[in-house]
Amino acid sequence: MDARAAISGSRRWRGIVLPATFVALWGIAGSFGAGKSGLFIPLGAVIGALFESIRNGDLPGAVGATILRALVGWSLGSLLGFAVGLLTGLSTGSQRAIAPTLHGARQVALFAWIPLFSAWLGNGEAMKIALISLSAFFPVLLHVEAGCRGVPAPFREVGRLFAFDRIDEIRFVILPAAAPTIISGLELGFTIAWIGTIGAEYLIGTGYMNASPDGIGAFLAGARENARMDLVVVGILALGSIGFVLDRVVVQASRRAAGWHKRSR
Amino acid sequence: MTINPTINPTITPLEYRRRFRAAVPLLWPPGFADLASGILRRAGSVLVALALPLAIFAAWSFAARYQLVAPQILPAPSVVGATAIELIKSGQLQSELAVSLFRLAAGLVIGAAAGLAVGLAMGLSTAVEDYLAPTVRAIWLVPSLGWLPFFMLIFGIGEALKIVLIAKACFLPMMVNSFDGVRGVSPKHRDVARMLELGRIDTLRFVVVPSLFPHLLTGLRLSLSKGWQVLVLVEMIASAAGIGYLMTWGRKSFQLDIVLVTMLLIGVVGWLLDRAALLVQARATAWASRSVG
Amino acid sequence: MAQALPIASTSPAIEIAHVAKSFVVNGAPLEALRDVSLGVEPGTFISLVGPSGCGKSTLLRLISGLESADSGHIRVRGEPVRGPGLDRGMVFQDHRLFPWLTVEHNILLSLRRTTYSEPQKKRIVRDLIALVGLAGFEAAQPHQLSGGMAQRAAIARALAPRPDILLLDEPFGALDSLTRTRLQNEFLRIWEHEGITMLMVTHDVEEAVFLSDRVVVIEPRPGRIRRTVDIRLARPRRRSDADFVALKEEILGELNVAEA
Repeated sequence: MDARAAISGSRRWRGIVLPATFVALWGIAGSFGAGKSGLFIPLGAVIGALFESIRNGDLPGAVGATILRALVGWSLGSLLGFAVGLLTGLSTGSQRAIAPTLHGARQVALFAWIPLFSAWLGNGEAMKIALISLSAFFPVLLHVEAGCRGVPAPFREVGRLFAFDRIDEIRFVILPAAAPTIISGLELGFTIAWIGTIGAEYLIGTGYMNASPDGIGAFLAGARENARMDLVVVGILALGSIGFVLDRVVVQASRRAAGWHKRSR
Repeated sequence: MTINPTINPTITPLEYRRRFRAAVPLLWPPGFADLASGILRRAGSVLVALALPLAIFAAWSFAARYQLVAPQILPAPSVVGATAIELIKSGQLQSELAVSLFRLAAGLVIGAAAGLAVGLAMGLSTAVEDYLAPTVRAIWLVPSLGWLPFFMLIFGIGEALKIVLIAKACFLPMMVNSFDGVRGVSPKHRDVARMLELGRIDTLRFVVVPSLFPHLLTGLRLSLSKGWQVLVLVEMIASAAGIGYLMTWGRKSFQLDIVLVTMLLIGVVGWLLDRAALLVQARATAWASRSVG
Repeated sequence: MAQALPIASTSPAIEIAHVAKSFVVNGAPLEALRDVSLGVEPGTFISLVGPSGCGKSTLLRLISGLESADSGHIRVRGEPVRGPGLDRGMVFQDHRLFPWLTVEHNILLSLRRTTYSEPQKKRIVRDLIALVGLAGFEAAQPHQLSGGMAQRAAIARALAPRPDILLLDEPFGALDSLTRTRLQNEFLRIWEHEGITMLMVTHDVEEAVFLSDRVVVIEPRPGRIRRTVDIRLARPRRRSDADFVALKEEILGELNVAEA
């Protein structure tokens, strides 16, 4: 254990070589005046743009709007996915009636729903939330269904021996046993909802539809429209780091919620 | 009482797997009675599965017929059907689909090849993994969509943009799966190879490649479905041809019949691509386990 | 091979009459039990021994109500079995404790459908934990327990609703021999303390002779009773006594014939 930690510690520098070389080349190229071609943005300009967009409130505002939107959409979609997944996971009849239709609908690529949603719900918040909810809906649904169906028969038998009724069985046997699967569905749902959020914001922000856009997606779309490569890079960096942090938060929270599975391994 | 799964060192794991596969059909002799009752059961579940779509269709027809919703918002099923036939007859649907599929194929070949190369290199050498893994992970953190504006500024909105973005999307599943495939070779099987004093080439051929193969096919299938999603997206945002463009155009001109037809097409083609990939995967895996060993 | 049983003055705890059960395995029917009849008097300890696949576990599952018989009938204290009930507890070879609950809460959960008040439930759980020797491990997670400790918790859980009958499906089968012997001794003490009817499936003949008042030998394909052997040895029994060894050898002989 210690030896392995020492090895991985001594090798850690290797991972930094590539990004560091890249940044160094970037900086050197910029100092030789390569930035005049227009597309190439010196390192300094990106850092400047970062501070500028933080100072004028564009970036924090966009980040806040995106996070809020992602969380609201994810919660709604997860709730709905949980309810339907519980139905199809617990009742074979409803699974046979509903699941084929849902699997059919799932085949349509996520962003291909945008034109229809925008026609039905307009270009405002309702449409974006609907798309984000939809993106979280399917993974949560599938995991809840699989979790409920996959409860080992020995556990169910214990519930029967205790003379549990259906409600007790769901509450004390099925849901706890399915919790790890459900949790990973929520995690996956969040990952996809995050992409859905950026997509909804970006498409609304392209001028493809007239609306007042906000969020990181719109920030990126606007930066591209104005050919501000420095702001595009800032947007990408923000997107990556916020996505990373949120993913960690969701994973940590869910690990805590379904701790028994991790511990009993 | 229980069968002890000790490995007979004179028989390779592959031979074990081959023998097991050969024995499987013998365990379940197909009976005619089973077949007949199976068909009946299937027919029943198809009927149950069709109930909900039929109900939706009926509600849709009803709403359209009595003009409960504006036709621009919800065109009648008959209109959608007529539009579909018209688009097929004029050849527009086929030509847009051909454009899209060509982009997908080009992006898939480039992205999957690069993913395979990097994944194998990282899997076979821990040094390469140490150098590359953190960078790859960082790039992966930003969804393909996030790279779109960046690529748009570099490549413009021409054909290169679509292919680069699709390639980027196809890269990761292929890379991760080929990496897992190399690393996932069971240590037990490696030990057997060492016991048999197989050389490096033979170990690769008989132990690594056969266990890698299913992973590669999984990677390819996931790349394909990722690529299809990204294709639709990039065509919606920046394109003057292709199925995604047709859909966006239908939306902009408020012809929701076209939107619905293209949505259906996107769903069906996506499903068919995945089915085809699954089929290839099943066939190829069976072939690999038969031909080697 | 139904054997005429002496009619006891009290009504039998379990009454099994001409029970048959088949399963469909990979499309082919498998006759698990054929015409099995057996009576068990209250408070006795009965063991079912036989080679694996002889249907002894199936018989236990029929009594528990987890499965239902194809024909014949099973009565528990005169009442036909219609499904699982709290009057019958069951202990499996795999302890089947819920991994998401502590020892205490696992036992408490078995009392959910009983009418005890909350303080009563708490006291029952505390007493049982003490009885099976798990005091101090109330808050432990199942994965933190050794195999023997987990099985003690499972026994406590099965005893908590105060069943008339405890059904044991190879309860010590997954334990190492040292732990097994110790648990057998303790289990005897628990049985004497609780005074309830025990019906245990095992493939360990020594265990059966050590614990039981009567051993039922079952032969396979289809599962049916070959012989019942009364164990009239005085308790506490010693495994090295000549009588003990003789009985063990006798039953092993029956088993070898059954298996051939």
